[in-house]
Amino acid sequence: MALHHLLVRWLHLLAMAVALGGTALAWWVSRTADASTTLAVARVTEAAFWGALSVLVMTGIGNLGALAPAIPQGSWGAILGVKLVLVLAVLVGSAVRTAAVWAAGTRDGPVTAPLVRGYALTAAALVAVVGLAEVLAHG
Amino acid sequence: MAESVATEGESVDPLLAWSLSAFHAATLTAGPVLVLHAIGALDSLLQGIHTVTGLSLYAALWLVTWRTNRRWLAAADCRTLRGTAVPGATWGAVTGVAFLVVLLVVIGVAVRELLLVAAFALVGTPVAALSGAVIGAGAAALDLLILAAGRRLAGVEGPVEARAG
Repeated sequence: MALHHLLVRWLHLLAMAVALGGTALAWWVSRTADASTTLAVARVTEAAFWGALSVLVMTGIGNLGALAPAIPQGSWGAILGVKLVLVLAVLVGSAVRTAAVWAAGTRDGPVTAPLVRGYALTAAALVAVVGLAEVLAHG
Repeated sequence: MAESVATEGESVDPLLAWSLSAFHAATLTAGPVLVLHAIGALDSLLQGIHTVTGLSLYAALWLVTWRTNRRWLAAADCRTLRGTAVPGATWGAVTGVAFLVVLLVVIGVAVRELLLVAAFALVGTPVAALSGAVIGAGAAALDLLILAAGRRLAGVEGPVEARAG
């Protein structure tokens, strides 16, 4: 395997670790900490999350490029399609969650309950993406 | 009370600009990849793009989108669809043309044919501006919905008020 392909895969894994780890941390903080701490952690998490998600998409396509011109079809291709749909759902859902974090910061006495649900849903969706990636990599 | 996306001096919440630009760049890439995969055309496209070139193009799209999103958010009046979509179309056109410039540099380095690059620039500029404007207006409308949904989730009343640029 070429060195740049190895680097792209490593970056892909690192970005998922940041996205999933950050989401899990924000979920735990939003359940246990006060509103101002929750919002402060959420804002940092959101910034890191979007950086990681961008790197995930960029390197994910790089990983597919390493397979071209022999990207498998059949059941492998169907699972890849499901994974891409799930990634798009994570993108849209996360944009709404980030908008909620931004909006919560504009009011007195911010409501943090939606953030608990938002981070839990995001973490669950990312675990599902990791599961599909595992199936694609090892069958 | 209505809240403002832009603050004094036309500065925009950096988290909003960063996250929306990342969202746009990622969706604009993952969406077409899904469609191309569904119709079985992904192989031929990816085969023609070197990994480093692909990563560089994505990074360029992300950077350009981030810069233009900040300007769009500063100019947008998110209380109305028109006030959001018109600046969205304007800055979408700028994004399209700026990304075309990046593409032309990549093509120029690859083929080293100045006339060919000039021809691509001549034909590509209006196409990039028009498609950028359409995508920009669509993205602005989607962002308006996303911001409204976020505000509802956070329990914030009233429409988003953005400072006119």
